[in-house]
Amino acid sequence: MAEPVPEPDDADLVRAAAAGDRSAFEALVTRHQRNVYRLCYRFVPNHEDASELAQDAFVRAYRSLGKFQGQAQFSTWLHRITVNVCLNRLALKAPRSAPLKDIETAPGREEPADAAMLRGERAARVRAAIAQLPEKQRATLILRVYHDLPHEEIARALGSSVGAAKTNLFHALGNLRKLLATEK
Amino acid sequence: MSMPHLDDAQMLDAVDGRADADAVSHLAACGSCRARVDELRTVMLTVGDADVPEPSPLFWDHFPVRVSRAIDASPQPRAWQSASRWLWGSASAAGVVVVMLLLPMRRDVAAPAPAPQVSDAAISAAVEPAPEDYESDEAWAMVRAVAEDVDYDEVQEVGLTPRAGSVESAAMDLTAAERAELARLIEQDSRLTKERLKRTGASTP
Repeated sequence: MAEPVPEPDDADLVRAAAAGDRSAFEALVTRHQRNVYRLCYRFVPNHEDASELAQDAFVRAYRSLGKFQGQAQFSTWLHRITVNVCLNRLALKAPRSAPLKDIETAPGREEPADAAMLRGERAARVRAAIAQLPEKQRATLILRVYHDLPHEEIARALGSSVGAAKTNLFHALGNLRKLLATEK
Repeated sequence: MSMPHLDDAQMLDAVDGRADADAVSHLAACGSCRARVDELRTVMLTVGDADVPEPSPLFWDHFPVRVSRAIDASPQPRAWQSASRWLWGSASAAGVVVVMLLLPMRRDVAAPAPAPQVSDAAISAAVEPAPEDYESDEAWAMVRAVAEDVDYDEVQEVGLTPRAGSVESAAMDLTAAERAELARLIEQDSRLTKERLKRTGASTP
């Protein structure tokens, strides 16, 4: 019986894509699109902006394939490009997101029985609250909580000191506590 | 003497489970700090639990094609764009970063002049080009392409600390004439660097 053909790894696909094989790059997009989209969604909590940012990140990656040295994993390199695209976007444009009050459950409305729906509503409120944070606090929080970056890495990514990164996270959490408490 | 209350960084360390021995013993004795650490931990957990909604499967099926089309639709890198990487070692590129770093300072120190009452819309139209104007501005495209190639690690190594995103946002503070001048300097530097490399026989990366 013939051995199954192993899937090409990222490094093989990057080499092929850099040599002009567009289908290899499409395979990389297919493989990483969920992670890139989810990262973008954390920064701009709506589908339209997140998909636009994810697309920009992949276009930027494609244009920069020649610079990819292979010292880091492709996923790490792509993650960094995506963070830069998101940070640039944060600096240039406020995200489109529903204000907290529009997401709140209407007063007196019965609690939905479906736990998934409740969880979805709670998540939407948290995302809306995060969207209200100042830019640095939001970026710090996202990188720490959702991407588990250590404070030192966050400081490097945001061009700040470790102390400033910690202060931003501390204030982000304090502000979120207040924002989420006011809607209860 | 008892230890003072934990500061912000110590509280975050405690949330991460990395409090030092002094902080741990303080937390054991101080209900106030313990309560604050618990609050922070609760917010962290609440935030961490907030999932991203999953788009439709059709979105994922179509997305690689969408990216491919966007690549085809985006302009091919021009000579100065492909040169932007090695331009970073040059004077004009460093100048771009310095200009971007100084711009916010200029904005901060400039005292607002008294102005006659004009509507916000009129002010915006007069002083701020619409976002799409930037997209069609050739000089802006050049400045942006060079700025986008900023390697923040390399820039920080020479003692500057631009924040990711700040270069582009600061560039938007330039007037059209300033952007054109910056683009001229970059082009001039690009030409001189190429000539120098040609003379020395070095190849461009």
